[in-house]
Amino acid sequence: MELAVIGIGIAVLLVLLIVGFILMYNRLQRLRVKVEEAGSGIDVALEKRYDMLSELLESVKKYLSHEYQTLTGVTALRSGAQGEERRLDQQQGLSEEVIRSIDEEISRQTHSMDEIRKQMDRGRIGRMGSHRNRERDAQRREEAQKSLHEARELRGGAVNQKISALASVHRDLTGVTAGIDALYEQYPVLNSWISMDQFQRAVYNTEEHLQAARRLYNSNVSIYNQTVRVIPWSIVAAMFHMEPASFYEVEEKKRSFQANFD
Amino acid sequence: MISNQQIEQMQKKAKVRYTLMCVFAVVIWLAGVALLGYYAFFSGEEMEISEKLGLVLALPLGLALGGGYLFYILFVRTAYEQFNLCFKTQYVMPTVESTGYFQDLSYNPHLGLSYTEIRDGAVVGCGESRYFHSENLLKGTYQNIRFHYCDVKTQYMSRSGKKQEVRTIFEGQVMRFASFNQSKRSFGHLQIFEKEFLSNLEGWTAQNKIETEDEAFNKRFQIFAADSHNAFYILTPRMLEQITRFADAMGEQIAITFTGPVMYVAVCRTRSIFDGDVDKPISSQREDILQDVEMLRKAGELLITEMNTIDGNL
Repeated sequence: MELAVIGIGIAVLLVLLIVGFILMYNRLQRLRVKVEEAGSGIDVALEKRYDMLSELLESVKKYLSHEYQTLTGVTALRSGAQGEERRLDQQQGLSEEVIRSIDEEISRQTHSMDEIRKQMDRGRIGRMGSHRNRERDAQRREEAQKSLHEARELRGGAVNQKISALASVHRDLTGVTAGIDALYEQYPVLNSWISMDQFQRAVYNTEEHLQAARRLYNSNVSIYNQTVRVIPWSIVAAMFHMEPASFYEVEEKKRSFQANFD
Repeated sequence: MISNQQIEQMQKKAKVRYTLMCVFAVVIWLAGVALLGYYAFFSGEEMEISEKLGLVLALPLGLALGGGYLFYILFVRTAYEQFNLCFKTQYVMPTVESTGYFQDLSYNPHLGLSYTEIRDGAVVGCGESRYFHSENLLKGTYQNIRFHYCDVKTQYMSRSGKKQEVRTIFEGQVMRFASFNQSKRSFGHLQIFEKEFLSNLEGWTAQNKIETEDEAFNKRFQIFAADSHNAFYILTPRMLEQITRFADAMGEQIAITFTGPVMYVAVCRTRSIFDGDVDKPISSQREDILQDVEMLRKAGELLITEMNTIDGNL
């Protein structure tokens, strides 16, 4: 009877040991899988960073390239417009001078015409005199009329010149206006800062995810390593050659960082 | 509009009735001791000494407590609630507005967060809906983030054999912020509970128990998350620091839950926010209101603004 009891006791103990052993082994294996899963999580985060940022970078580069071309085109137009402006300034100066001189000529001719009319009027009043005087007066009247006619023609010519000069200025202004309109239509709204801002945020966000993945990995490694090193798990771990896992380590070149804005 | 004088009269009335209640209870006790003492020792009844002492000491005490409680229910509670309501209506909003911290404020002493919201938020154990109570709802915006702030009390019926008892799970203040970070969202629940001896603050918990790299934090708080990666994504080293600072500032047991863009913060405190005190002068109770408001501001400042500032500095 006693032997039976002892036998049962030993059997129960053995069963308990085996069950305990299995439970410990299973726990170690689960922790090991957790470590591997967390390591894979880092890869997932890295791949996400690569894929997402590659695509984003491509679209940002295309957008920047488009904006660069547009900006250089606008700059060229602006340079052309500046040249046009200079030309217009010069032309304006010339036009003003021309019109001023034409105005002076018109005034001169008008004054001359007034003088001639006055002379003619004085001659008409002095018509009652000698024959020689009358002939002289008629000659003078003829000359005066001729001068008047010439002055009128000169004045008319000056007026026509002024009109032509003004018409030319108007045509030039019309051309400049058309140029400005064309410039305005081609001038784009440059929003590269928005895409750059979004890119920076995407970078920050993916780095946060990567950081979280690394910390999760280290946390799982820590739990696993603590377990394999304490008794009685260490016994089971040693039996199955379960080594402690390595913590995430940074690359040597990333241990120090120096900002360089060159 | 009720004047300050009227509120002070209500306060005085409530205080007088409270004093009368105490006097009434003492009178009942003394009368009980005298009468029952005479009956026990001088009436000639044969009783054990222990029975006599029990009769003289215990019964008058029970009568005094019962009489006092009855007096409270009939006279004191109504007066106090009337004073309290007028005090809250008159003083709370102007005092909170005067701080300048918050915008778009509204206050309702009768409303609070719903049982469903507390249950779904899982910031504290929700208990049974019939014992759920919430009041003193203050709503507004802090740094352009909508918040709700109120008193919450959750309880449940405990049955032990034939004995039934209503037990309190949580009593204190709960804050709900519409957003805790401009760019981060919690996928599933992320819960942080401060550990405390014999506390059963947490109700339902997420499936993953999280251990961070900060051992001091792990010792002080329990973390549960639906997704481990999400937990580490939100609980950055800086966030862990801020949570610790907030818990130190509160000095009470706290719980925080992130779900989607929303953050719930619970602080265990038996004192209701914005309650009037019958013993203090009305004008000096402003400090108590400011203290209640400061708790809200601290939560926003430490748990939200800091994170947004980092993101804003990109």
